[in-house]
Amino acid sequence: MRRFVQNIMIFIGIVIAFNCVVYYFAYKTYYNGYSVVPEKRFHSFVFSDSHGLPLAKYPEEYNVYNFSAGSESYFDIERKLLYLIENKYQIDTVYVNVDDHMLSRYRDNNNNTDRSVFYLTKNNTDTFTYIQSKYITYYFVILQPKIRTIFRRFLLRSVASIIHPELVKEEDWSTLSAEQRVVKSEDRKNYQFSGQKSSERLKISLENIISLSKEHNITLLGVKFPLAASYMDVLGDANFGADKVLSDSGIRILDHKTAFADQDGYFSNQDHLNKQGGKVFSKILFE
Amino acid sequence: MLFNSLQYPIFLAFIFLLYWWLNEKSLKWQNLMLLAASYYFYGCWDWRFVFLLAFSTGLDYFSGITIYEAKTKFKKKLWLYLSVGINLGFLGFFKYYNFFIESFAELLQGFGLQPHYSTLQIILPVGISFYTFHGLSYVFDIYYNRLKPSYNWVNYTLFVSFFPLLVAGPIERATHLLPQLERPRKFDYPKAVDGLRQILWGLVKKVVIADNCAIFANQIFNDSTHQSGSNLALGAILFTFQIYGDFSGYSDIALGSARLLGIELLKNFNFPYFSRDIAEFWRRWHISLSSWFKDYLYIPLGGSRGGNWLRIRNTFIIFLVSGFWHGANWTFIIWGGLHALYMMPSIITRTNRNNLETVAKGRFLPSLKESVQLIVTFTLVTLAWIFFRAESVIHAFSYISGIVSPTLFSAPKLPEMDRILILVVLLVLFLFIEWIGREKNYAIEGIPSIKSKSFRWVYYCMITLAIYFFGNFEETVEFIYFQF
Repeated sequence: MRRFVQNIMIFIGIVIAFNCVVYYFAYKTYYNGYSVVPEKRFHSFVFSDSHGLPLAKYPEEYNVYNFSAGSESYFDIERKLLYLIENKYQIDTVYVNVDDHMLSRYRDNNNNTDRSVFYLTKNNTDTFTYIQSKYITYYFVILQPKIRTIFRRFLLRSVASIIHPELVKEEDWSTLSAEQRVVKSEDRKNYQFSGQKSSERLKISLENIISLSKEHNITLLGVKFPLAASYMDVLGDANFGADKVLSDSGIRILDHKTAFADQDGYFSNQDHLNKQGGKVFSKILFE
Repeated sequence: MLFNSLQYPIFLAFIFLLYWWLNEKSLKWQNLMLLAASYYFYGCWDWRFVFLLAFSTGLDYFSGITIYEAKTKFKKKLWLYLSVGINLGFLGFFKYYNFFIESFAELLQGFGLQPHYSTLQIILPVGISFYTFHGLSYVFDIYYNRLKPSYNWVNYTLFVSFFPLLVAGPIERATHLLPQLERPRKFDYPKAVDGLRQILWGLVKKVVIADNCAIFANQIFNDSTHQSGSNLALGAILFTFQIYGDFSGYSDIALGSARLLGIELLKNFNFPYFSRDIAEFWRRWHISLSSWFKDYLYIPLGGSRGGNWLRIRNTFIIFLVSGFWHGANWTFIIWGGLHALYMMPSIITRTNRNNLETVAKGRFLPSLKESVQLIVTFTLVTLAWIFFRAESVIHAFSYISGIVSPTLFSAPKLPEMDRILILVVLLVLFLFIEWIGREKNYAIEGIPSIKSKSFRWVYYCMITLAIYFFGNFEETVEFIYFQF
């Protein structure tokens, strides 16, 4: 029995060592940069998933803080908003992304739940969930499927870049042929709009965001980010209806979907602006 | 509490330590603790059904004693019928009530009648088909004087509800498990390590193979009308691996968990996809159920002693009943019937016991003839799984007709093809390891024969890493056989 327990302990030791390696990786590539607290001088905030990332720090020129993050869901945005409210930020305006995919199952599955725990406060959850998510799974990262996926993708990409560098090369959207754009657009549509049903959990979070805004006299605005023309053609009327949830509550939608319909040079891919596009769009949005 | 959840290893570790600590104190307390743990394990699904389990167990316990002690044949028979009737009554109510009502109503509609009927919102108690069969085999064995009843209710109750086998088998026999529960166990290091190894391999089958196949198999089956022939064929093959990985993975974890506690359960799978004919497949797939039907249905019906017609009839009966056992849906019955049909050539020509030994025993590669046999058997089994997986008989037929189309020869096209390619590589690797280990009880049982200790550790770490990197943990996929 002693020998058995000893070997189990060695195995557990290996697992913990592996967890440390993954944590280091997760910290460098995933956690770091996300857990940022905005300065209190900001009174307006942009909340979005990766669509908001190209805006970078340009909104700050208009005194708006870009609180976007890749894969951000309404669940994570709700946590951030609660954090700001609890920490006595004076919030005037909140711009929230209401793109067609924001209530999809895709966004529900690909979210930041594991890192937005940084903004989780004791008052907004029960003690067990607070301790479990903020301390146990946060540090014992091998329990987090998303970090596992990122780590695996990173390793596969590293291997692919050594074996076949062409495979991982990102091509500029504006240099692609019309056929290539359509193929990429269809792939994206199939990926983000594969299910028929929208996510109930995210819808509840979005409704909570609306209630919180009303409760704290915050001007909430829905934003639809620009899309490339070929993607809009492929997308058609596919929409999980985040914009409708807002408009049903009497909230204004700033629909810029077609803003750059004839300017592919502003896109890095079918539904993401590039740096230049982000700068121009910031001007359109906040001026 | 699923075997592939985080709670299970914590639960198992706790039980393991307590169990072996109690081993030095008293067998009675050790079994009592195991019984409490088993009921807790079962109650984690739905505590209300704990009472049903306890009632069914109590009924069989007293029936067993009464049958054994009965002075007249009439009294023996009466108690046998009572026990079997009540057990099957529960099973019938929970599992088949709605099916019979709906089928009867459809039959009446066929005659132009419009029956008014209502079905019930019945939740199927997890594992009911399994523990009912445990109890039935016990009373049958006592009735046929193959077994003396247990007068120790703790031991008997533990035999029925032992947590590794409670919800999805293997379907144990009292003659095999009860004696193990009645005698003191001794901790055996190689056995315990073997148990852990089998759990590890079971996890690979479940979370790496089955749960990844499930993503795409579900995608294809749920939207089969819009899929190309090649996509549908791919979906059927992926489901074939999903169900094997899922169920045999479960069995491996169950056997491994029991072995950690010094208890040996019946083997449930023996590399079924390496079978050269359907009869061999059924000697290797869900062995505990096949042997149950053989002992308690096929042989009492006359088995293979009579002429061809009797053998054909009996074969059809056990396969149809086996199909029906799986679920209240015509798809399962057709699945069973299809397998009975597959069996016919070997039943008629009496060649069903031709392939008793492992394929290519002692050789690395199979012969050309064996390869063809393996492929044909695998194809037939895959075709039958379509019925098993389909929502309805119409769905199954439309699925098959979709496969048999010109698009069968086009390349499969699905979202996330890169993930499918990774899955194909994993399947090839998995099949290779299974092929190498096909003469063992489970694929990686031979690791201890590797002389270098550090190499063994590397092997275990590689498997653990494979689970970590390729296991599907994004969504918890329940074991398929839990619904039965």
